[in-house]
Amino acid sequence: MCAGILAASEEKVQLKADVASGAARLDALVLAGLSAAHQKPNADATDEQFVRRVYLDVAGRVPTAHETLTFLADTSSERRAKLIDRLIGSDGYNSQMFNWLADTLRIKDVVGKRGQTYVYQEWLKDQIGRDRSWDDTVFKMLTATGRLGASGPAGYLLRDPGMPLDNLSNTLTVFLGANVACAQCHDHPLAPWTQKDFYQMAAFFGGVETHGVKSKKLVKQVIKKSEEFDEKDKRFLRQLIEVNAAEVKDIPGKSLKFPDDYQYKDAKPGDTVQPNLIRWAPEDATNPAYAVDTSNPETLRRSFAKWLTHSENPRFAAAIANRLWKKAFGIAVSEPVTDLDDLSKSANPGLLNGLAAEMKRAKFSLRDFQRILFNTKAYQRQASITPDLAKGPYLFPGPVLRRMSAEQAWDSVLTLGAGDSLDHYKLHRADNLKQFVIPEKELTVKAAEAAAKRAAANGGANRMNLKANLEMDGGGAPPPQLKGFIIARASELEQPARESHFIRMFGQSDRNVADDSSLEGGVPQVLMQMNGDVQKVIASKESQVMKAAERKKTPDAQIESLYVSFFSRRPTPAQTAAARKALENGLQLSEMTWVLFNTREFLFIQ
Amino acid sequence: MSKRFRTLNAMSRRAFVERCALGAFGVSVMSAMNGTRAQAEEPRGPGFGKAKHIIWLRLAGGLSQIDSFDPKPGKSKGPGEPLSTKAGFQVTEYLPKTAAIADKICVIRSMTAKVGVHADAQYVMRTGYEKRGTIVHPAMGAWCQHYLGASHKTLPSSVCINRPAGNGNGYFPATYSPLPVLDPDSGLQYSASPDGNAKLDSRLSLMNELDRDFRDRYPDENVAAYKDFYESTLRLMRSSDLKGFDIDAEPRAVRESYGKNKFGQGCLLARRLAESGVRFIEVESKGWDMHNGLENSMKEVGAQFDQSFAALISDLQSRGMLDSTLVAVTTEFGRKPSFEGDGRGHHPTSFCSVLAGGGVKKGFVYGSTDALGAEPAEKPMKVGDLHATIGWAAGLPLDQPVTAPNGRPFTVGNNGKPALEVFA
Repeated sequence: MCAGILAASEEKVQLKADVASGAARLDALVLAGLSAAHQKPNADATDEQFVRRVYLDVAGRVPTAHETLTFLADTSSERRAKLIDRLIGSDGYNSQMFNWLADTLRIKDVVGKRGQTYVYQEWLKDQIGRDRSWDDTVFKMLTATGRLGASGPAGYLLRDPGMPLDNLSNTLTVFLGANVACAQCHDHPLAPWTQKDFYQMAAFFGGVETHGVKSKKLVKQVIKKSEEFDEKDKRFLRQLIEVNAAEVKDIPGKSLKFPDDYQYKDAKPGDTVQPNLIRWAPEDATNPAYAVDTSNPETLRRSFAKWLTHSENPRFAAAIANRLWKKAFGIAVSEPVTDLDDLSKSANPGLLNGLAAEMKRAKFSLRDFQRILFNTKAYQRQASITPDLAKGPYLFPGPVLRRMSAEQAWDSVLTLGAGDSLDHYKLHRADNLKQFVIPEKELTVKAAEAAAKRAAANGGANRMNLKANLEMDGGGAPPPQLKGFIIARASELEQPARESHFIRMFGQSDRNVADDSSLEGGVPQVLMQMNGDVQKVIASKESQVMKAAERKKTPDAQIESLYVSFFSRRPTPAQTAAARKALENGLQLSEMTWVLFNTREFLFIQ
Repeated sequence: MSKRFRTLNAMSRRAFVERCALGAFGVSVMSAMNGTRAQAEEPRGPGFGKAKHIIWLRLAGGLSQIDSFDPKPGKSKGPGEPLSTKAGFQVTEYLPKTAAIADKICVIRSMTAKVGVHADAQYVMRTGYEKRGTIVHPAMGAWCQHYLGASHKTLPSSVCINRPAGNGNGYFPATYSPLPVLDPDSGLQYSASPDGNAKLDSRLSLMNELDRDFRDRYPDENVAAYKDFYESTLRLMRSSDLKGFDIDAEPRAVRESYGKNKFGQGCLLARRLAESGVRFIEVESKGWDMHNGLENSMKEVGAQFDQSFAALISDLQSRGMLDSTLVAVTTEFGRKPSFEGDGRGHHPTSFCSVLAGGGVKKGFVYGSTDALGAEPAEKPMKVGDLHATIGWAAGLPLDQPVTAPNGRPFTVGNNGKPALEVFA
């Protein structure tokens, strides 16, 4: 596609045609799978169902009443495609993509003892915001060098300082769907991986240091020095040295050895491990992805990263495409997403191959790929109830009904309260931290101490402090706080949120294990939903939904206004009658928001 | 087999009905509405059914056996010196308080497993089964609730502290999920309706009416699960035993004796909940993945564990609860005999567990490892066997399989064999 030569409007037409043909290809593959099993696709989703679903899936929150009504009033035949385009280009898209990636990449604000990862997080948001291709993002993360406070992509390897085998295991599972779990310690009982295979992959990172002797020494010295400071400054100094000392380095001459207790005959304990890329099938021998130099110790990481992110790598495109399908449909084409060792075992192998092909055609642009997904007829059908996969594969007559994620629920509550201005509150948490990065050549105990003293001298206002940096885009007023909650989207808050926070209660993971978020219900969660503080955001006089409802002149109109806000639809006559009766019996409008908030219909995505 | 059928007591009758009610798996015969726990089967041997409560301590990250309960001289020796106990076995100097109560505990030195990756190994230790793509297995508390019924009319039968529920119910009904308390200091938040129960009831009634169309259109298991959670929650809100969740009610001296940290206060909360009638309580302790700085970590994390574990055992003892409460110390794997840098790597081939109370022998060591601490030498115990042993203590019929919704039969610990030798 010669994008530089076409004019903007022609480019748009070209994109539309590409999207339409991509969607048509995928739809054909879905239908083929269904008809082979004598199943039919579901009926088309109504516009009400579609608008709510697509806002949640693409922008991470429910639509405001205004957004819903605007869409429902659009009678053009391309209204769905136009909405998808607009949402994919929105701040909301960036926000929910970060949440999705954060769950898989185990993003935490603090790694190791006190290493703050704000620079890594901002870099990831930037990658998403600029639609950097997935292969480029992954390549950068695997090959980065640099310090936690200075290099965004270095945050990936620094997630597991001093634990390279754990880090590699996650790399293989997340980016390739390689079922390596057991092979870290012995030949895998169920998959074709041997322990030697695993170690030979790990050997590509054998020269990498993420928990270096030099930096540990410096950190120790600074910690000792910090004892002289008072509590707040002591803590700050320790944080400061951590983001300056935590570093990814390539050490010449360093290499991986087989462990002392290696039990197999195919190598000896203590031997240097020769790097070797695994193959899933004999034909991989001639696969262009494998044409990388594995003999030069200085370029091992780059070779590994080149192989892994290559468009012809047997699993890279399929793994990300499968995950994004699961994101849109609720279930992957091949479950679980962490095990793609045998693609033929998926529910619809043709569809899985088709998805990988579309991902490659989109040159790993996650936006372009998802644009195709959301434009398929398959995505735009009515939702099915949760299938029992033990009874047979799910062949996608429609997306699966599922509960909002913790972040979607939080962001939706805030939307009800604050409206779409929510999308403008960004916290820029890396800005403060970057000020305290000391050039490497100047990094000494003295320099760290001096920096800490400077920060303390300003009344501590410049310390790496979440609250100190709240601001709207462009430096406007800080976002409001209510009952200790900062009214900003989940992607802007602490990663992960505190345990008592709504977001954790509703299933955000502690980010210690990949893909560990949950959609489960539970008693403490329901207690919070019924008795908690968060619905004060919705029920208060200042909330957008209350203001909109109170502007209406009749109870029926008020009820309808609330329904459009909460459910993106108008109430049935029976529902209006029941609600009207309750209002006549003394129920307040603010209490009505409690009622609607606690329905399953609110929490689940049709 | 004949013994059971001869005496059709309440427990056997329920088991029989359960087997017949497979089709209506969602209709739990032993649902919380049915009230207190059923009569246990008559004893089948030493220790059977002695544990009315189980406190399952989970040391996340991989407890180093050589640096804790199975010290070794020579090549594998760690930075900590061995410490003799009056029970005749040694622990390391990182566990002095535990050493002082060693005559109350049973150390299992011969645990052995295959998986050396945290998430998967933690799953095996929690459920007794290896992770599968299509089914989730239950934790011990859900097994107990299945065979024995709810342990309390209004409190949950399972609670997990310092960790989320994580599908602890497995394929059992959602009501068997452990109630998660992520922070023991905060306990159960929002346990009362701010506007009173009368208003709550009328709002709920309207909510159910408005939601009816949606629920009718989507007979989805997750939607239905929420209905169960709402009902359990309302019952809990009206419970007179809610104060079990509130550790503020404990005297300050007691709170301090357990250690003012999440694990210590979690152990204290577990004791309170057991007293209130919760049957199964998991408490998580983090920080055991000592690849680096093992010595310092054992001095910190190890010391915290030491204080809290010893305080828990002593407290249960002084309250007369130890004989009926089984405390289990579990971890997902051990750590290598040889050092890598200043820490040890993952090592599933040999690791340790500890049991105390609930009919278990006092001051006893079960099994042993070789001179290096690399593999079991005597009486290897698989994770499934540990599950079966704990299930035995709880009085579960280990040979009665459960048929899950996918039609496959499952048993406690995947046909694990209980180590009867650990029982007094």
